Amino acid sequence: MTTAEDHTSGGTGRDLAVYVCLLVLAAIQFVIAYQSIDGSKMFVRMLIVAVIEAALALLFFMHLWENRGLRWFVLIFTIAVTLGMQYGWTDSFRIIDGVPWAR
Amino acid sequence: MTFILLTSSLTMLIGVRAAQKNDKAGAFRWVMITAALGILFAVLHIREWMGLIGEGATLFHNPWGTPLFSSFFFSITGLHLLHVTGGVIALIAVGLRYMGGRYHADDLEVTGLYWHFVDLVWMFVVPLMYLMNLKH
Repeated sequence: MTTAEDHTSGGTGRDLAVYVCLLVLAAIQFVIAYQSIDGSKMFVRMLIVAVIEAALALLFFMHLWENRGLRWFVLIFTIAVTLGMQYGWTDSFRIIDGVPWAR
Repeated sequence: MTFILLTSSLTMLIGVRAAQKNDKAGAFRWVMITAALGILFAVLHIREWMGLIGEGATLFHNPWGTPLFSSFFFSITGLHLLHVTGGVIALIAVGLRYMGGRYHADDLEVTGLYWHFVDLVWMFVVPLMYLMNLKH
């Protein structure tokens, strides 16, 4: 297990830069919310920005950047779970027809 | 509220860095600032809820649309608020024990990881619960 002393790299300057980036991304979400686009497009854009925000928080606030092995594990595991959910998540169409996006 | 929660993550990071440099007073101060920001977030959230409930919105009733949205809104934001409250209690407890010498910088860091996680969840709650449902 890594200790607190292992995570001293980067410094407060980097933390501040990531914080400003997160604020800018949060502001971008508000801009997207006021655009005249349909719901599905807005959903995708919102989700992309939210994923970037989450990735920044995970990498720099939660120190994933400093652990290369864990970084790859989280990436591969997340992709595997997302793909698994895509084909295993129960929704009403799937329950009725047994396949995803049946209608 | 997003600004408050993001800022609290930054103050938590500063607190953990202070603890890593053995600056006990500094670490304690920043962790308590983080807890105060968490309390401010919770107060604003409860104020928002009271306003909505005053307008007639409840877990099973939504005066502006489908009741299902109201159920989702109160459930998801309520669960998040519960985690924030738990985080604030943990921050205060761990901060006090760190000052008392029973806990170390690592313990503050683990509490910080939980706090960042609560912040991370909010990054998805805001666009999907609030912004996606704006009326133009």
